[in-house]
Amino acid sequence: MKPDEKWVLRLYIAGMTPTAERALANLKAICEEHLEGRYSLEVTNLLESPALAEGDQIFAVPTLVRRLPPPLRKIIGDLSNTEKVVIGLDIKTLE
Amino acid sequence: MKKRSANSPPEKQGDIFKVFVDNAVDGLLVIDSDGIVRFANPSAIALFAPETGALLGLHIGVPAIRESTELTVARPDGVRHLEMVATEILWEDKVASLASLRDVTDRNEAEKRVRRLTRVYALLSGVNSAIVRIKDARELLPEACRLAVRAGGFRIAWVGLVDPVDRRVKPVAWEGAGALDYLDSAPEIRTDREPGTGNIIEQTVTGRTVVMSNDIQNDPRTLMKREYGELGINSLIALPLVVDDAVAGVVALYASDTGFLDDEEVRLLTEVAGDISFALQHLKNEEKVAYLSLYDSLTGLPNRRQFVDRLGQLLSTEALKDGKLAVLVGDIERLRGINETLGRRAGDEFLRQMAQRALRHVTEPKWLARIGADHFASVISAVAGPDDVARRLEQVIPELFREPFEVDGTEVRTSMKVGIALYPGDGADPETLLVNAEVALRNAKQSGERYAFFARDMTARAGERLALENKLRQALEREEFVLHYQPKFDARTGAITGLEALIRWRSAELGLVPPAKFIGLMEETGIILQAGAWAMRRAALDHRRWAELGLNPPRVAVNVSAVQLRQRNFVGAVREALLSGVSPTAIDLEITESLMMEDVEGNIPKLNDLRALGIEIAIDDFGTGFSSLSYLAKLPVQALKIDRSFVVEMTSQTAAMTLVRTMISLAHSLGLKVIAEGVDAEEQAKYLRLLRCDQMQGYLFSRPVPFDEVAALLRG
Repeated sequence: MKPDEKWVLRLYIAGMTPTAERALANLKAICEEHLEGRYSLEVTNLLESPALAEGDQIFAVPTLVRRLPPPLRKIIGDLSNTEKVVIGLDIKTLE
Repeated sequence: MKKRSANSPPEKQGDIFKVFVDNAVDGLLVIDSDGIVRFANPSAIALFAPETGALLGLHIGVPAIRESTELTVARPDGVRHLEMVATEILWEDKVASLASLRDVTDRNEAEKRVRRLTRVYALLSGVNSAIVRIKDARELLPEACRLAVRAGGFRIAWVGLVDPVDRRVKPVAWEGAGALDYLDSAPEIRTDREPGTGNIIEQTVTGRTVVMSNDIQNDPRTLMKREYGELGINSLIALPLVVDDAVAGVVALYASDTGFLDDEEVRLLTEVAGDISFALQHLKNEEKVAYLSLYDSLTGLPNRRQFVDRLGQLLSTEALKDGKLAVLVGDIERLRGINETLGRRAGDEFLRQMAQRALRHVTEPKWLARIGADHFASVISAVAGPDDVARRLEQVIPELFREPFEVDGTEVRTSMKVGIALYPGDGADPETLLVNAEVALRNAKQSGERYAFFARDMTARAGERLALENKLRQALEREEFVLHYQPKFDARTGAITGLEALIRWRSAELGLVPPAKFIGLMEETGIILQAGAWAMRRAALDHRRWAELGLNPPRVAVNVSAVQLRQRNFVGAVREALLSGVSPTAIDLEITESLMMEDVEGNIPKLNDLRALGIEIAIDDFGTGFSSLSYLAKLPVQALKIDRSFVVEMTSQTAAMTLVRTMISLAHSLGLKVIAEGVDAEEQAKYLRLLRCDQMQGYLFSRPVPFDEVAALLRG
């Protein structure tokens, strides 16, 4: 994976619940540490745009989807387990 | 690898585990490192896919959690919340996650509701104590917003007031992240639309009603859905603030959860808005008359009334308990002459200049007051004694008048005479001190001195007090005190429901001494502690005597004074007094509202202990203190006694009538009995019955009467 490759992440939530807030904060910290300047992060609130979930097949939120680079990867939960997030997103291969 | 069928755990783990897993209440999922579901038990399928029944092979995502996390799932039957715990396991020799899931939606709802109500109660009580504490709308409204966010759990709170000029609602206070940006971007709020039209805030104003939305994103009335989405706001409530019977503004509260507002919460928030409205009404009235009633319009200085109030406050502060202070009254010499020779206008101008100049010589502007046409008053605190005051005056008076005043081009030279009263020696209350300073001023003028101290014959006065004090002590020993009893009557049946014990002093030397003459001294000297205990014991004994006469006496209430209640061991003193009489269960206590509120937190445990002794407690003179509703609900009291002043005014003033009605319904809603005091006229009684007052007391029914007359009344 090229180091200058653009990462596109999308976090699905259903309203800014405490879990969603935690997930977002954890995700931002991880991205800033490992992907600084190379990622874009979208937050999709399913309460506002439920249709968006269908493309990515979301079963439960919070779910984080790595849309780019392929392949699509999914992580579920509040992202408090940083190690799992890093492995799950396959960030390690970057370094 | 063996082929497996859905819902079957690995065979090597045995049938017993399969039974466990299939019947587990919790949903169990095995998710591989690519986030694909490899195993799901029936409960998991029911949680995620009750319709299709298929979960295996679906890409759900790798759990990345440490402790438990709450997931949200949208199911055809609604949104559910699942608590998930995940553990790392080996599944077919590869690392996988075992996720255990439990539906906590219902539990959450119950917990949330309790938490939310706790928060709203905190908000209500916070707002109430702010109202008592803060007397300025500019401070009160931001504090209310702050409380709504910090204590009430709202994301944003703001208060808007109707602008008297353009009739738009203008935000005046707000709190919460993003509140200011939100208010900046919000469209103007009009108050002239047809009722029921416009956005939620406008509908609140035009309809004069609470308007709310528990799901903003799906509410056609909300305009700023995108902004709300970004702020994470899903519920909104707007409540009107009603002052002078018109909508004066709006409280708007925004919460993140959908469905944040249930009936109970709305009821409490309506109460909060009602309390804020009440405070605004009060502040508004106060602002209107405050300047006129508390300031001298000519000089802008505090007037006599304000000076007395402030002095009273100062005297009641703890810090002053051991300190001395001097109250000074100054008289401008030749003011009449100035008025006569230069004209009244020039005289007024001179007084204004005089006030400005004198202000430079007082520690705080509030301590210079104009209390009469040519009289100014001031206070010097922390004085060592008369010498100290004299030294300061010797310095200040010449300084003050060294330069002549220039009025209408004419030089005016004058000076001042000062009378001084020292606290505590020359008086314990502001009025006495002021009057005594004025007496001293007359002495100064007569003697031609620049100043004079109040100097009634100190030894004689101390002697007088000492003599009275001794007489009071003897009176206790000689049993010169008697109790008279004023009955309370059931408002509907007219039956006697209770008796209030009132102390009377039949002095062998002085004759019948009215309570006003000796209660104050009793409190000052602490004799009230013995006298109070005596009254309780006497009341209990009298009660027993009536019972022994076969009269079925009602409960007897005894008044409690400040000195008694402040005793640390008040409850013990009550118990002791009552136990030496008879069983305490026939004795109740009446405590004035202002005394109760003096230290509410400290009093609640005392009152609870009294309750445990079987004593009922009534709040006396209700309406004269400033009870916070939330405290009222917390106080272990059983009855309210409406102060006589309201009863007197209710037949002539609608405001007093409204207050009485409110007090009665408030008391009833808190489960308290209501007793009206001072009922002297049939018309008052008639209204009180209409307002469903429970009991009445007053000269219309019976004055306070001695023991034998009570017996006669009880015989009927």
